[in-house]
Amino acid sequence: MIGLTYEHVLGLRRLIVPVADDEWMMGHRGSEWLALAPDLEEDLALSSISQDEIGHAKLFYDLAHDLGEPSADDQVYHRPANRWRHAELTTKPRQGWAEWVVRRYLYETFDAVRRSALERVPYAPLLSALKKMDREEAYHLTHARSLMLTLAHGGPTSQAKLQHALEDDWPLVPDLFEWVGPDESWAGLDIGELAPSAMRRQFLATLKQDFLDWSVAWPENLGSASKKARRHDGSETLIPLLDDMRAVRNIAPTGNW
Amino acid sequence: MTRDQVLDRLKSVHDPEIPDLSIVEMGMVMAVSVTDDAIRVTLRPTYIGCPALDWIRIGVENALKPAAASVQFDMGAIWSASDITPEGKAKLQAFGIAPPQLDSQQVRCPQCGSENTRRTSQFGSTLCRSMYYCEHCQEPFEAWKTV
Repeated sequence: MIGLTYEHVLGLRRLIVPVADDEWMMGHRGSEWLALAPDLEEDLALSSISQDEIGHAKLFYDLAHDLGEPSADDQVYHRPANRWRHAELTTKPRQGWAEWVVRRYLYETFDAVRRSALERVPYAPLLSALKKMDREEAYHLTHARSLMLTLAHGGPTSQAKLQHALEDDWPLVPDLFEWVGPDESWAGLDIGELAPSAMRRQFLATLKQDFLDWSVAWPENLGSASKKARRHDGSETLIPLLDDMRAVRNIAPTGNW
Repeated sequence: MTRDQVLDRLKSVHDPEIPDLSIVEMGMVMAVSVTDDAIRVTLRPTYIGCPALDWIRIGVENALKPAAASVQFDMGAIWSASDITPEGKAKLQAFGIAPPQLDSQQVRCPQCGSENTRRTSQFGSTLCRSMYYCEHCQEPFEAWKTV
């Protein structure tokens, strides 16, 4: 990017932090499944995937920090609940295994669309980070899809659980695509693919084909994003999550590891 | 200290998850520059979320003491399994991890050398490994992921 304007810097910060927050929260919620997954292989897979997500979040926070946002530690351990910008789907409290499989599939499919759209942003440090992440995320998406297939072809019980989980997560999907932009800070840049409507269209096209292939019933038409998409003032689940996530840090604030 | 001496000392720094392999053999060392008053070492992570990065950074600083070295990770730098040196691949195999086999699809069992193997999980005990089973010696083993 030749000559990063102040508007570009602000735009990048507003773009990157929600991505980091989504990755962080998926990593955190994933870590809560450790030792609870249905088999050992899945437990190990989850530990690797969650570790990757936390690593990606840290890298995104570092990129944002270079542009003037607080440090990764500050973002994670000291930011008040109302300043987090993840989509609510990522922080839903743990329910059953089928819900987690569905959530991972929805998130990974969305994340692949978003990463591909982010590659239009001409900011070199972001681009090289994305390139490296793509190689790791490819494993996540393949894995998420294989678990969906297992449920879809497992028999009436697993199919019913899949369908139920899908209907449960579905209303939270539209918020994934929302972010503060593209607004005037992006003037002159060709980032149309990052528009919520464009990402949503791409995401739905993938899902429609998958559900057809897997004989998963289409839940219903996807609604619109909520007014408070990616804003969490008054959220009942976020404060307990943050308290839990910060418990060790709060016991030993000066601890080092 | 010369650049070669620095590289030599870096051979004593290991990834804690694979104790036999040095960061040089892993292909993690990207650049070493030595000037009159400064040593700069640039490393690339294998995986972004690798939990051993700080440990490795401290390992490099300690290995170069009493010289003060500045160690940095280029987080966006691509590392691929083909960056592991031939010695590194031999050590991985001796350690019981099938090295990345980029030329053929079939992963060879590090214990008996059989190609009659199957993957049991894409993910293993660390970020960089997958799990396999050898039908010939009937033992599970791990293989390096081919990113």
